[in-house]
Amino acid sequence: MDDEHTGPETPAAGADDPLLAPLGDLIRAADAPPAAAAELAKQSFGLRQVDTELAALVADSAVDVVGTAVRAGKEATAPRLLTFEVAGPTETDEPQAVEVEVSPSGRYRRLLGQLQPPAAARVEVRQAAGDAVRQVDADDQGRFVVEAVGVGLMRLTWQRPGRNAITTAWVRLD
Amino acid sequence: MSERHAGAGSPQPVPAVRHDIAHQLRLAASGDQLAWNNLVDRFSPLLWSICRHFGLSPADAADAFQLTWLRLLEHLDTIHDPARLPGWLGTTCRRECLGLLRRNKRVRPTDDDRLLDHFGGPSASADQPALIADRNARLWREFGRLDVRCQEILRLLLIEPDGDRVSYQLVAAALDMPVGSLGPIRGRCLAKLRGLLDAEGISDGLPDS
Repeated sequence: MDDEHTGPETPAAGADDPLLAPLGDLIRAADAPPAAAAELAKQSFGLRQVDTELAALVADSAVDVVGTAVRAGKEATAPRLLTFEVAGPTETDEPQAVEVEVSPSGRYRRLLGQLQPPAAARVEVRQAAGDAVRQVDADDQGRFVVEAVGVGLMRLTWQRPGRNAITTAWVRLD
Repeated sequence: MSERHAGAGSPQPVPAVRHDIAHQLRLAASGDQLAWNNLVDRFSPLLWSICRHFGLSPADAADAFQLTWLRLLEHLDTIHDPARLPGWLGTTCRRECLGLLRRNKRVRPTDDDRLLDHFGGPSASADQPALIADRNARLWREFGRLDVRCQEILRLLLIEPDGDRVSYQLVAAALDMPVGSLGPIRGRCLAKLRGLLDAEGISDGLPDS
């Protein structure tokens, strides 16, 4: 692509005009975003959570093990492991993280979670496709289970006494 | 808050100037749903085209598109330089698309034809005068004869009626290309298209202005 910089000058905008308008119309007719997608993006504003710390996805068994060819049949049964972690130094120097094992459960998914550091907490499950917030309690070892989570975009939030809640980045459950 | 007046009242046009994007971003970060809607309206056509550009199915494109907006929501408070928003959106959208593609490759065989499956023709508009419809059909057909690279670039650069610096920055980030390379490629691809149309004697039928 180096030659792009030495190629002929872009024609003046005016010289393009007769082509641009009809071609632009055709492209917009072919590629316009579905109204439902834009509407969902607008509604997602209601999913914003302020005053929370973000835990980024730092490991995903479905993506990391590139060399391991997982066939479709196996994919359906092997659990997927996700790790989310708050970046940067934390108040206590302990990593703030959650490990989640996702396994199929019929047409739903089952989440088996482990908070780090291990502690009891209220865990919330949000899904982009609906506004209901589900809540489960992690035990004093920081373990929790969420049954029957729908596929699609999802995030977890856990409350910590006296501190900001932590919320994971959005992730898609397949 | 004095800033909030812009979020309510009369409907607002969304000028494609950077200053306005900065303003909408600031309002959205302060909790203004209408400002958020304006950002969605401003960038949705480009982001959707990028999702399709990467060859995602409509369902996957919808998820990558939605994830891009959710990422912006996650980072509304941390984007301190609004001038970087277009590039940030382009890079984020690219990452989400590639992420979903990588996931899908594991469960589905790669099919290079999928990369082209979004090159279907536009649906014919019933109330279009026949002459224009015919001219457009030929224009679309010749467009389809351009090399794939040209088709893809033009689809991204012409999706906005008034493609400006902001949209070029977004596209450059999404394609991981220098922004300065897009203008020359666009010019070269349009020249190729003009050549095809001239060979077919079609360009005479296009309006002069």
